[in-house]
Amino acid sequence: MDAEPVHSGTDADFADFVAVQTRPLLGFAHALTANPHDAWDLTQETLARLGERWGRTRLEEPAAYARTVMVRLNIDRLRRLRRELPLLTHRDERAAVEVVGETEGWLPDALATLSPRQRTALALRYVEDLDVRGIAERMGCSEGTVKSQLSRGTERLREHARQHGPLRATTREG
Amino acid sequence: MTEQQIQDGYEQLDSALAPPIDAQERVATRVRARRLRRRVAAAGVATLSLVAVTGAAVLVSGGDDPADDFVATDPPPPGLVLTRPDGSTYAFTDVTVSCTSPFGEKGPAGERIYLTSPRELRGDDLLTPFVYVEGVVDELQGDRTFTLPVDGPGDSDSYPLTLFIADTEGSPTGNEVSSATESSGTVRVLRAACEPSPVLELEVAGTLGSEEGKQSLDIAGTVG
Repeated sequence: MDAEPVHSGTDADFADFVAVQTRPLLGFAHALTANPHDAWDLTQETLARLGERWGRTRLEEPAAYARTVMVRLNIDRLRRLRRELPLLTHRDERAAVEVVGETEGWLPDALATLSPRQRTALALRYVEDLDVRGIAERMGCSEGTVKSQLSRGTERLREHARQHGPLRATTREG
Repeated sequence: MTEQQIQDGYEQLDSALAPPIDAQERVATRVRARRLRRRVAAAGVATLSLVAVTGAAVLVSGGDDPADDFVATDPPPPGLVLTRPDGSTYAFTDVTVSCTSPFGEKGPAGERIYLTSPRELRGDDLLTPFVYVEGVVDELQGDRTFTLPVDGPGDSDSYPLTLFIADTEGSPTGNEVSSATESSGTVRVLRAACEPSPVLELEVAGTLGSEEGKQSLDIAGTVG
């Protein structure tokens, strides 16, 4: 029997998808959340939702679909509420993700000052390289809203960079 | 700050994390939990439990129509009572109603209404269960009764009503349930207004599914 395409719907196919996509999804989630533990939780929840539908719904582009699910989850009010509550319940995930690179740069600190929607719009622009229309489709909002989120988000990044990041360093050197 | 500096920052973020070595199993566990909850909800599996707090009781039984699952045998208990699968209970009797977001989110005045219990914390640890209700005031008018779950088609910002409970019990480290997951039962809105002063009164009889694939919690009573 010929091998079925990745999105054909078997559990083995989904396991293959998870094996290939977890790492890039985690990177994208890190850009969306600016927090390693939230990034892992978001990645896990995204894959779980995809896995639940795997085999029931034919997904033409599961990787793109996963990113859309992730974006929507990241700006979901209920998930936001859960993240903002300091609870016992997330602690079992605290040690799960492995930090293998730099997480203390100026950008994570700057992103932490942004709203989830601003972070999401910027991540879609700089990580996914989407234009305003593409970002609006992923986020499920108007292009005007995206422009506003990008503008405010970028300005906040610049402001943070002026005070704590590369722009401050540039000023001192200059 | 140049575009390239921002781009470099994002590339750094992208490569900073590696999934845990048991990522496959962790994801598979969550998928199994979600599939199981969906099957249970679809099958209308009967649930039978008896809530008995302060002399009041609500019989919870299975049925095809979630709205028919709850038969009040006495007036609802005062306060909102959660009952865990092991039979232990917790009553939310001290709640605050506000038309200002407890998390500082800004929106049009009087658009949303919130009901919360005190958050009792020691460090990051929640010491007692916490209830959070958020509703869109205009959509709670006219003696409305919502059949659970209240979800979709948009994200949870668009839901007319959200009931969320963080419980301190539930292996291994607590549990979070909400009206947006596979839940059953009803929430009846007795009163909802921001003027002249915030008031939100609800009558709840249902089972809220876990946001974490853990145990569901039965919720019954009046609150507000």
